Amino acid sequence: MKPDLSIEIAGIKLRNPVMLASGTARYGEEISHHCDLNQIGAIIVKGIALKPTPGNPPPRICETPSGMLNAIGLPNIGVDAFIKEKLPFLRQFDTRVLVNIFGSTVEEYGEVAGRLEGVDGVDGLEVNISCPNVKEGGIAFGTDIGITRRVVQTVRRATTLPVIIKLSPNVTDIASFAKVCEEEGADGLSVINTLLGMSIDPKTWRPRLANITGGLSGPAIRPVAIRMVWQVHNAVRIPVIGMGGIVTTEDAVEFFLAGASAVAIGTANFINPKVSLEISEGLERYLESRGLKNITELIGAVKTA
Amino acid sequence: MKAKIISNSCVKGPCYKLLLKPLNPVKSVPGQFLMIRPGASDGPSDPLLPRPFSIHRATTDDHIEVLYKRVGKGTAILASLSAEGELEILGPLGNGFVFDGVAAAKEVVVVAGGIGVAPMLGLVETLRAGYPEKEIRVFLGGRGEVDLLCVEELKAVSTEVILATNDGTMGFKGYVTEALEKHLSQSLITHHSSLVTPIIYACGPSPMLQRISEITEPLRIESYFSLEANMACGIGLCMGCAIRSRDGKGYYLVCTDGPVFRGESVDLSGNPPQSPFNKGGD
Ligand SMILES: Cc1cc2nc3c(=O)[nH]c(=O)nc-3n(C[C@H](O)[C@H](O)[C@H](O)COP(=O)(O)OP(=O)(O)OC[C@H]3O[C@@H](n4cnc5c(N)ncnc54)[C@H](O)[C@@H]3O)c2cc1C
Ligand SMILES: Cc1cc2nc3c(=O)[nH]c(=O)nc-3n(C[C@H](O)[C@H](O)[C@H](O)COP(=O)(O)O)c2cc1C
Ligand code: FES
Repeated sequence: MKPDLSIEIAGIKLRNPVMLASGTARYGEEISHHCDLNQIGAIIVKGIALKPTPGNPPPRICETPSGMLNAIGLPNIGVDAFIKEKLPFLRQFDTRVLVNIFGSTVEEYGEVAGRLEGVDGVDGLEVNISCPNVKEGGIAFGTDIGITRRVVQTVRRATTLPVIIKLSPNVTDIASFAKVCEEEGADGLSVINTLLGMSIDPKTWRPRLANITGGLSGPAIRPVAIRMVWQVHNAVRIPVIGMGGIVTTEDAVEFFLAGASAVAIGTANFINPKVSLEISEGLERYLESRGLKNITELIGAVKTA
Repeated sequence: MKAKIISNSCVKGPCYKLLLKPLNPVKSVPGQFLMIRPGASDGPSDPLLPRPFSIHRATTDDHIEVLYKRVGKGTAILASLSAEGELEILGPLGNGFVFDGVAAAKEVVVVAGGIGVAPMLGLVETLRAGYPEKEIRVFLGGRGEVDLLCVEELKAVSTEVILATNDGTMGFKGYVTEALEKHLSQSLITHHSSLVTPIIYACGPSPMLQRISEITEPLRIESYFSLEANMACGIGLCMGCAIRSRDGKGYYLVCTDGPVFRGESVDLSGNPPQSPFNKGGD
């Protein structure tokens, strides 16, 4: 018998535990030409806010050793246009849709969450708290524990949908943030968002990104992500979606062993838009080769003793 | 998709020509591009991302030529690859050049700066085949003689090739846009009674394209630019390849909305935007 890759996370049943990470598959259409969305666990769409935003000026991305920096600036079409124009396309597929939401104020998070409540085709929310809090001088919501608590409370009150909080890695003690989210009723945690970084061109003395700083992703951040998934898994009972630099099946296995119940593939989609299918097939073979029947046998199984 | 390397050799200075045979035949139009992963396909993490390259020429026997300049890590790896090897490619991508205005145009003017000539040979060959009677003038610019590529090939399929170098080592001494301006002012004087104007296709550094805009827009000349931007995916996933639109409201994506744009639709100035733009965030 084939090993069982299905998993239920935050009340959402997934065919397999491999998702497309937010901001790396837009609203599904472009990647669907390369990757059969019926065969992935879930798609987490590009961040959605209340109102449309254009994003940052170029250059928005640059490559760094084994990774990339981005300051795309969260361009988005606004929640109403998303529901009307983008969601119908995703409904055609037999997969799960998690809507990644963000806001520039705590209240905006609640409003966006509220608009998505009861909308056909939305299986859950992933809440990006790594974006700038406009009222508090642009500091990311997710780096302040009090504001993180208020965002989770606000979203929790606004919706009955599963709520997954996407933690920022740009904090000293990620476990304490995870605990606050659990206390306020989050159903799951995504770990991790990008690490704040910067790169300068020695020829021109200019930052390589117009925004000066940007988010680091790709294999370069994997050890940090693994450490954080492990710390969060040990701190809370709610499930963790692990991400950060996954390119191969072995990379994904590392995340399960550290405590992730599912994984999301981000930057690797840019290198090979089919990679998430290859990884879910790879996971099946990995389990088979180890004589394991169920993906759950890997979760948190790292031998630290 | 896998592609077999048929040949890969230095053309001139730091520029190379790569001849590929894709596993499955690829149908492309001039101006489209490929994403090519430098190095082995089994996940090297440095360099990480595939690189965008124009389709220089699509041959009748399903081969694809890429003309590239060694500028950094990825292109250095490409330059080191030998025939018989394999590469991972994705494409053809992007929109390609539009020919709607060609039939009505007085002449076709093609402007290329440096390695910007890469998509232009295929373009000129296609134009010549489709419009055998049309005058096609090619302006090739570079800092010096070493930057001028494909001169003989272009001569074979165009009415005239005008060369310009900043150091005067070949052709007109100065910017290629100065040579272009001279030509346009002369040809417009001789044709001042008619409204028939040339159509322009250009590829090269942003300042060159911007200068072409300044010259051609007051004359209402239809122009098409093939643009470059830093790219991660080439297929519209990352939104990294933004170019500001002229209406000031937003951005186009070079990989899916382009790489070919109407000259007057894009803002190449590099000036900070007027509207309150979002800061930070992925
Ligand atoms: C649509 C399109 C078509 C192109 N066609 C050609 C061509 O036919 N021949 C050719 O020689 N070059 C072409 N370029 C430029 C080419 O992609 C870059 O020179 C190449 O990516 C540099 O890679 P590198 O690793 O050697 O340099 P590095 O500087 O080490 O590259 C680092 C990163 O920056 C990106 N990058 C750097 N320079 C550019 C650039 N000018 N444009 C886009 N991304 C860049 C790379 O993709 C990579 O992610 C094209 C670019 C675009 C966008
Ligand atoms: C270009 C780009 C855009 C992203 N956009 C978003 C976004 O809109 N919302 C969000 O929560 N995370 C966003 N992310 C973060 C990813 O979802 C993911 O958490 C991170 O990149 C780490 O995974 P990776 O190394 O596999 O890419 C983005 C990442 C990249 C590279
Ligand atoms: S290169 Fe990724 S969207 Fe254009």
